[in-house]
Amino acid sequence: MMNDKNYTLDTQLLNKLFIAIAIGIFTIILGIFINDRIWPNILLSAIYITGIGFAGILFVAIHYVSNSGWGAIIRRIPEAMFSTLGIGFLLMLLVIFGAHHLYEWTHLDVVAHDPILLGKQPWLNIKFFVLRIPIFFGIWYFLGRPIINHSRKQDKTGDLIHTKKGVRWSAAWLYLGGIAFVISSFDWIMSVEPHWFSTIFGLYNFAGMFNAGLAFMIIMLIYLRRNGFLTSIKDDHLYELGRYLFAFVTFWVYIWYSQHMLIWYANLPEETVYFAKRHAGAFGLLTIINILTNWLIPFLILVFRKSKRSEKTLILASVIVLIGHWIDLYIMIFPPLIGNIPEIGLLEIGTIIGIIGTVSFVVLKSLSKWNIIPTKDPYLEESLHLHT
Amino acid sequence: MEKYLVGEFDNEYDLKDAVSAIRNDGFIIEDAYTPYGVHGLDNAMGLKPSRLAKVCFGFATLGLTVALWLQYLLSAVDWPINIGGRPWNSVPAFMPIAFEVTILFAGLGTVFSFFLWRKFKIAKRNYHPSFIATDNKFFVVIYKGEQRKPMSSAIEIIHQFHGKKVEA
Repeated sequence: MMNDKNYTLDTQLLNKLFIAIAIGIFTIILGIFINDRIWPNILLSAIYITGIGFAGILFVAIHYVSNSGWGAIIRRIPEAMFSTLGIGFLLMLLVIFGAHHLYEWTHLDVVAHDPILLGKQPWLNIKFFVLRIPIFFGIWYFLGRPIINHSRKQDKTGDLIHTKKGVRWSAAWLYLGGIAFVISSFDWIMSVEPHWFSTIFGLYNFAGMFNAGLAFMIIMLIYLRRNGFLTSIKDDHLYELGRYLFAFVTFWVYIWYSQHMLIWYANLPEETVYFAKRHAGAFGLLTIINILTNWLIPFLILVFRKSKRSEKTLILASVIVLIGHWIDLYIMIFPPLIGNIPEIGLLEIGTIIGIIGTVSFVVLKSLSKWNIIPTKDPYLEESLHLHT
Repeated sequence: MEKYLVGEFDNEYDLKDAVSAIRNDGFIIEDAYTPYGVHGLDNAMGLKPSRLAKVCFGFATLGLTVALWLQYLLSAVDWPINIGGRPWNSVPAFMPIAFEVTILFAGLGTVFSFFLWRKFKIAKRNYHPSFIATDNKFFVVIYKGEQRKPMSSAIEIIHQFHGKKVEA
C-alpha cells in the first residue's frame, strides 16, 4: 500500500530555484538604493509569503479540530508550507526600515497637525508597530510548531496521544492565530491609508490569503504526483481541494462585495475615498481584473465536476488565483503610495520571481526532510479510501 | 412481490461486491437499501451522476436574469425614484436581491423538478423490501425482467457473498 517514496530535491530544480531567489534578493537590494517603490513591493512579498505559511497551518488546524479524515494523506504539504512563515518574518523586519516610505503615520510632523492621526497614535506608532510584529509571528509560530511536531512524532511512535494533542493546539491556534491575522492585516495593509478604515478588512484579507494557500497546495500536490512521489493521491483528493478552492473564491467575492456595497450605499466621504482611488482610470481596470482572476474565471472553471477532477483545469484555476491574489494585494497597498497610475515594472517582476523561488524552495526543502505521508496517522486508512 | 428478487446482506462490503457481480452477470439492479450511505455503492450499481445539477444551473440562471430584469424594469423604467442621487440603474444595489432570487429559483426549481421526475405524489405507496434496511441489514433488489440468465444464478451470487434470498 505505502509505496510512496519520500521527496528529494533534484539539483536541476534546485539550481533554477536558487537563480529565482537570487533575482529576488538582487532586486530588493538594488531597489533599496535606486527606487522607493521597492518598499511596497517588499511589504507585498512579506504578506504574500506569510499568507502561504498561514494558510498551510490553518488547513492543518481546521482538519485537526474537525476530526476530518480525508486530508490525512496530503497533510505533509500544508505542514511544509508552515516553514515559509520564517521568510515572511524576515521580510517584515526589513519592512520596518522602510516604514517611513510606506506609512503616513510614521511622519510625526504630519501626525502633529492631524487630529484623526493624533487620535490613532496610541495604536499607530512605530514602537508599538515594531513590537506587534514578533507578537503576531510568535502566536503563529509557537502555537503552530507543536501541531507539526506532534504529527512528526506520531510517524515514529504511532501513539494516539499525538492526534489528541494536535487537536488541542489546533483549537488554540485557530482562536489566537485568527485574531492575530485580522489585527495584522489592519496593521500592515490598512494603515497604509491611516485615515480610512473598514471593519471587514481582516476577513477580506483572510479570504484572499486562504485562496492563494489552497491554490498553492493544489499545484504542489499535482507536481508531486506527476513526479511520482505522492502516488496514493487519487482524483478524489484533488476534487476535495478543488471544492475548497471553489467555495473560497466565492467567499472572497462575497466579502469583497460586502465591503464595497456598504461603502457605496452609505456614501460617507471618509470611506468612499478608498474606492474613489481604486475604481478610476487604470486602477479601475485593475480592479476588474482582480474580480475576474480571483472569482469569475476560477468560478466558471471550477463549477463543473469534471474540471475539479482534472489536473489541467485545476492547475489553470490555481495559477489564475495565485496571480489574482498578487493583484489583490497590489490594489490594496499601492494606490496611496504611487498615485493614480499603476506601475508594474522590473521591480515587481523581480520580486514576483523572488516570491516564487523562495516559497517553492522553502516548502520543498521542508517536505524533503520528513515522510511525505503521515504513516501512522489514525485517519490515514480512511484518507486512502476517500471516495466522493 | 413477483417483480423483484431481494437479497439480504449483513455488511456493506458483501453488498458492494455482490452488487457488482450481479450487474456484471447481466441482471438489472433495481435499487439497493442500506441503513447509511455506503461509499462506492453508486459505482458498483453503475449509477450515472445526477442530471439535477444541470437543472439547478438552469434555474439559477433564470432566477438571476429575472431578478435583474425585474429590478431594472421597476426602478429604472417604470417608476424611477431618486435615492441619494444615485443612478436609477444602480447594479450594486440590485445584487443582494439578485443573489437571493437566484438561490430561491435554484432551490425550489430543483426540488420540484425532482418530484416531477420521480413521479412523486402525496401519500403514494412506495416499494420497500423490508424495514430492517433502516436498522442493520443491507438489501439488493433485482428486477426480474429481461435477463439473459435464469434467476437462480443471481441467487447463487447472493449466496456466494454470504447473503440470503428473502421474500419481501
